[in-house]
Amino acid sequence: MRSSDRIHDAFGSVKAGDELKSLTKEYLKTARQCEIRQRRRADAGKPVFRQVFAGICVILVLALGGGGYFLMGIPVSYVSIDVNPSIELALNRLDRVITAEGYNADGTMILDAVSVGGMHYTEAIEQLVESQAMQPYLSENAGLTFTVASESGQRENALLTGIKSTSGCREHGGLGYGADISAVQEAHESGLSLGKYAAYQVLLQYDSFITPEDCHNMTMSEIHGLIEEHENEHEEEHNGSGGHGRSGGHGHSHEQKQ
Amino acid sequence: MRSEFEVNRAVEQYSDMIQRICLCHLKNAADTEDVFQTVFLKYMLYEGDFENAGHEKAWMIRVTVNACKDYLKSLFRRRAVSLDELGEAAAIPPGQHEVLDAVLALPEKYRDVIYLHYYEGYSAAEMGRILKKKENTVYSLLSRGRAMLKEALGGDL
Repeated sequence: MRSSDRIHDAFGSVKAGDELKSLTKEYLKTARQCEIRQRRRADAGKPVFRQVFAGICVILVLALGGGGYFLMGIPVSYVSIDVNPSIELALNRLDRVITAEGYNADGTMILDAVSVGGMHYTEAIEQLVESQAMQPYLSENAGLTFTVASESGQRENALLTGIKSTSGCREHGGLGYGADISAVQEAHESGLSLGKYAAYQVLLQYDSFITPEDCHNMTMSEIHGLIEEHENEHEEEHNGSGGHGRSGGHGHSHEQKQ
Repeated sequence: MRSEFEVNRAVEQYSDMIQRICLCHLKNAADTEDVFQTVFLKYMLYEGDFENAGHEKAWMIRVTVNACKDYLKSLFRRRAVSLDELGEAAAIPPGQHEVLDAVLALPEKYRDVIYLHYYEGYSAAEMGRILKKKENTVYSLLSRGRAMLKEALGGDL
């Protein structure tokens, strides 16, 4: 057989798997919904001059070869990694890290040692959790917590599934939570990462005197411990007096224990 | 924005081709998945019209090659995997590994022209237009790539 035929046949044997095609179609379905929502938001109730300005910005970005900014530069999801270091990753629609912020000194120190910009979020988590700088914080019962907020429930679930699959999460008993995307801004205004803010909101239901500053200075293990104590007390009161149950929490929509 | 029907049609039509181009550039299946998503997202959001099927195919090839190169240039790097592992992801029959190994052993700049010429059947002029290279450059790349493959595989090319 001629070598040219062998090359042709060899390439001909390369096929994309059905799973890859299905995953791609599912991804595109989600991306389409996000795009439609964004276009509706962009069109609804904007003053004309803001629309024109936005249009000029888009033209400038594209003219400067920044067409990829739309795909790459806009955060659509957030992943918070909290132990005592508090780190928050902002992800683009391709689930890649746009920005990584430390929300306390320990978190900043970790990010000084480990650069995760541009990485897929699962790779970023592996790099951060397995880094030398993080090891002193990952004692038994350290309370490693991952909190996710995204523009859609489907993406949130996919992110949590991805986090669950990381060795960093599996080996260190990480907990996973979902939070409302609106909590991101509230968290930042309070000076907390998304994860710590979500935990603070739960604690606030039991202790109206707790402040964001209090939580800022506590480890996730301490916060979880306090929540557990309150839950146990509440359960004892409930069982003892037959009183009313607690109200729904903010952000802790589901829990995945590893 | 292209319809779901159009996009799904494109996924079915071009997935094998994109898989082959990714094989020439990328090192693992997860990277291929990322490039797949990038390419088809661009296709979905592309506002222009294609003159014909050939124009659309050429657009896909160019976007995929550029996406692979951008991906490799980014901060992101994954570990290299063996062709066996890649083969499982791309469903490559074991008997084809010798030839594909030889192609993948070529410097990257030769792989696209070898694939586009020997599998897709493009001429040097056509490849020049797709890859935005001068025709003479494509001839040179094809000639040198051929010589290296002939040495690796023997026989005529």
